[in-house]
Amino acid sequence: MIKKKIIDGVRNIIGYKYDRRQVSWAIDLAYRQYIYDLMQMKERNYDFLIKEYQNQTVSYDSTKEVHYIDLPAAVVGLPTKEEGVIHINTATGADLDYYPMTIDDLEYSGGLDSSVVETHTGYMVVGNRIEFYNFNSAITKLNLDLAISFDDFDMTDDIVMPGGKDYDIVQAAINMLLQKRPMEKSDKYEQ
Amino acid sequence: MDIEDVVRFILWTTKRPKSERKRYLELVIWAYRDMCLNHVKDGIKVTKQAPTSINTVPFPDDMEDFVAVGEPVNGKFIPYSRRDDIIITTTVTGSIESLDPSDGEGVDINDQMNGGFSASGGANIYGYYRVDEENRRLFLNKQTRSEVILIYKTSGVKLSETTYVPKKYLKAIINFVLWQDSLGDDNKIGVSTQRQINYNHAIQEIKEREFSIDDLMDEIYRGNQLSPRR
Repeated sequence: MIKKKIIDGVRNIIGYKYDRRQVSWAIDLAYRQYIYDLMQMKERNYDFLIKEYQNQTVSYDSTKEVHYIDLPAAVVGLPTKEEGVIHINTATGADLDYYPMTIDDLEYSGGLDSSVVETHTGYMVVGNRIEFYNFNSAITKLNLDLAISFDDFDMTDDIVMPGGKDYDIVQAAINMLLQKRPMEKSDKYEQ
Repeated sequence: MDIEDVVRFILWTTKRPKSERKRYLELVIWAYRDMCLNHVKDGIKVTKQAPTSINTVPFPDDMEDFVAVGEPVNGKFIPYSRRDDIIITTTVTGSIESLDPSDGEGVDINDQMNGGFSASGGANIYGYYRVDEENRRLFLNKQTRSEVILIYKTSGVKLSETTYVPKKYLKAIINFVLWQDSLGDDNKIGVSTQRQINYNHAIQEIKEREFSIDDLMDEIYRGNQLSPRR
């Protein structure tokens, strides 16, 4: 279901005097809570959270001597090594060439055989960009699958509401909204 | 099987996240190294080495354990005899090492035995060595050739090209990795013990599979005479 329909569905329940941005924000909070609950499950599947960003340009930081990509959107702050960057692939297909890592991994493995032997590329989110280690400099474009918040999807994006949880998410959003007055047209929406 | 594919296989079949990849690669490397050094015949390298000006053979960078040094005689490898009384000091001038015969350095050992090379472990007229562990080299004495054959164990892991691991070792490697992964977690002491047992079983299976008739006869001949006992 596209994002606009989800929002309008909620507005249909609580009244159209609630602005779309207000409703989106409330749904976003509930959506993030669901993602957190998902983290507690042993077998996690994040695929339904993904928005794909294709052909993102790889740049080189000559100061830090690392290749990087600027994040095209804010990612959900997952407490795992992925940190919201679920998959990174080249344009030609999905594989395990790119895997999430941390600074600790880099520090501990420095000088060990794995750092010499491996052909795959590690990545980590640093600030608002993704940095790569053991990167193939011949690659200039990559596809990113990011877990972004509900609020950051475009109105025309198709969002997969998790089966069995869509009611809970919508209900939580409604409960939050009913505690707030609807936004007036003169109200400023702070980004 | 590419060693990186082994990592991928383990992550997937044990439902580990791909963020564990780097750590598991290090564990797989360790597992294969342990097998090559202690349990299986993989990783043995045979190379020709030219002794240095002071008649030493430096250990190659990939050498993990010394096996033998010798030379070819009539198409067969004849190992040198180990002599721990060979003088392994050198005379250093500046940064250059040399051998001072007045200190016994580099002087040929002169054992009066029957001529030529004898059987493995026997005393020869030619071909002795002593291991200088501290400086990672061998001191040779009375070899007859300008190049010697060095046999040693490597870790089995190639640092500059792809390492391929025989699939028959996969079970042992997985058990080793899971065993090591559970160490350091006090809540998993029982689990780690069980995994260590599983690893030992897997190694035993490999050894039994690779134990040939020749190996069996060698073991019999090692401690037995061929003549019947009455």
